[in-house]
Parts: sequence; structure tokens; C-alpha cells
Amino acid sequence: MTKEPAVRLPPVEQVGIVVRDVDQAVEYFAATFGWGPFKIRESEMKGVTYDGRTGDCRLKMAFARSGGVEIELIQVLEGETPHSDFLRRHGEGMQHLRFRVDDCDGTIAVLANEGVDPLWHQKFPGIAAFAYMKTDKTSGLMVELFEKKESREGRGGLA
Amino acid sequence: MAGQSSIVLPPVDQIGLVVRDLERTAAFYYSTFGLGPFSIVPEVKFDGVILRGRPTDSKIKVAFADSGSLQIELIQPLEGENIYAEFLQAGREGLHHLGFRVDDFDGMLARFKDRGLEPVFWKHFGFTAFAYLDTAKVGGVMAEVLWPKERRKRGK
Repeated sequence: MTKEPAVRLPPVEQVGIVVRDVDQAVEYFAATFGWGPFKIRESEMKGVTYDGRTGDCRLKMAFARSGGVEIELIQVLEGETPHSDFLRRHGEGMQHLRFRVDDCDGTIAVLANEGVDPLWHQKFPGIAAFAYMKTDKTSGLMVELFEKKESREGRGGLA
Repeated sequence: MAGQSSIVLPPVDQIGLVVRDLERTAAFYYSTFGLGPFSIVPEVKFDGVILRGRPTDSKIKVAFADSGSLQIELIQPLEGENIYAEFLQAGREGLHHLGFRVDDFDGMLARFKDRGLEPVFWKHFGFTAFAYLDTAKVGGVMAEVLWPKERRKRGK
């Protein structure tokens, strides 16, 4: 007997890759895999909750598509994030899969009942929300939940 | 045009994860996230697979599920040497590779070789072939080149 899933995430929409140097990685993956063109952007994030504490960080990110998924390259410029932790422990590489949700808070609440809590998360009321979930300890996979109000498409660029 | 031309891989077809306990992980992904259900192949024999230039025999357990157009593959090494056991031994678990299906397997490997990327784990079985290429130098992405281009339909 298999019980009904707690949530049903839609198909994977993004693969997140932690890199040391976004510009170098963009050039390398363009030449070696044919990925790109990438859109490169820096993002300053204030008051992100990371493992219960609030902090600021600055990220440099690059985005490109590969068929059905987005490739995100992430370089931490300042601050502590799950990406800087990953880089210290493992070096560069694939770090998360992102799934779109309608209601990030609601999904977090349901997953809390399953013993899965958010690790790194932030809400931008009326615009977007994201949460990296603490699933890497149970299964190795970091799951990112991402909610975005489509009417504010121009505001993208969140991690 | 001077210099090497870019290699162009087809779109990502597969996301591969290496896990310590495949059954437990597959059950967790399905019950928690609705990812799956996975179809499990309890034992796959990898005889004579070339690990960094040297033939190796190993056994793995694999599971597959679809996520939209992508295939999610879970791999648990059972015995012998392979890159999956190495991944776990390095203290890793989780996202391991991106799989790309190609028509011209040998040609793709030759183009990677021109760029200094030799397959770290590979075999051509005649009816199917795979080769892992590790971009450890930059980006740290393990790419798996798979042939044939079309995914085999999985039986019930």
C-alpha cells in the first residue's frame, strides 16, 4: 500500500549548479556543452532566513535553457548561503532542483508534517517566494520550492 | 574559423542521482513530493565497464521515474568499483549527472576528447552505450552521453 503523496510537485523546472566563477563557467559550458546564451545577473538579497537566522547575501547568477529545464549557475559573492556551504564541502557542481508551486507557505506547512523543513527561504509579498528544503540530509537532494506571481514576470531573477 | 568549435549537446534528457538506499529514497520522493512512482530494476550488471582506462565489473540498482519530459534516475551501487560508489565514498549523495541522448556516440566522444575530456566511466554494449564526462575543471558537472537517441520504452 502506498499512501497518497503529501504534495505533488510539477515537473522539474530548474537545475541549480554552484560555481566559483560565473563568467568562467558560462564561457566553459557554452564551449563544452553548447549551453547558452546565458542571461547574467547580480542579486542583492536582504533578510533571507538561513537555518533559522536572518542574513544578507549577494549572488551572481546566469540562466540558460536546455530543453524543458532551466540551467542556473550560482556564484556567491558575499554572505553565507546553502551554495557557499555546498562549495566548501563538495566543490562546484549540481546543487538543487527547483519546482514551481502555487503557494510556497502552504507547501512548507504540508511538508513540515512530513518532517521536511525549510533551510533557506524568503518571501517577497505579492511577488514571489522561494524555499530550499532540508531534504539533502534525508536523500541527498536539495529541493527548491518557488512561487511567483505571473503578473510580475519582469521581476524575476530570484535564486 | 580559428580554434575549436563548440560542442552542442542536445537538451538534458535525464537527471541522475546516486543514493545510499534506493528503495527508501524512491519511497520518500513519492510520498513526500509526488515524484514517481519509480520503477525499480533490482540489479544491473556492469561487466567490463571502463573506469578511467581500466575494465571493471560492478553491480548497481537503478530506478526510473518521469518528471515532465525528463527522466529521473536513481542509482545505488551494490558491489564493485564504479563512479557511483566513488561518489558515495567521497561523502556525497544526491544529484550526480545530467544525461544527454545522442545519435552519434563515437563522434561526440571524439569531440570531447579534442577538448581534453576523456570519459571517466563508459562502455559500448552494441545495442546501447554510455559515457560519463566530468567537467571537474570548471563547473563540476558530470555529463552522461547516452546512445541511442530514443529512450527505450520501459516494460510493465
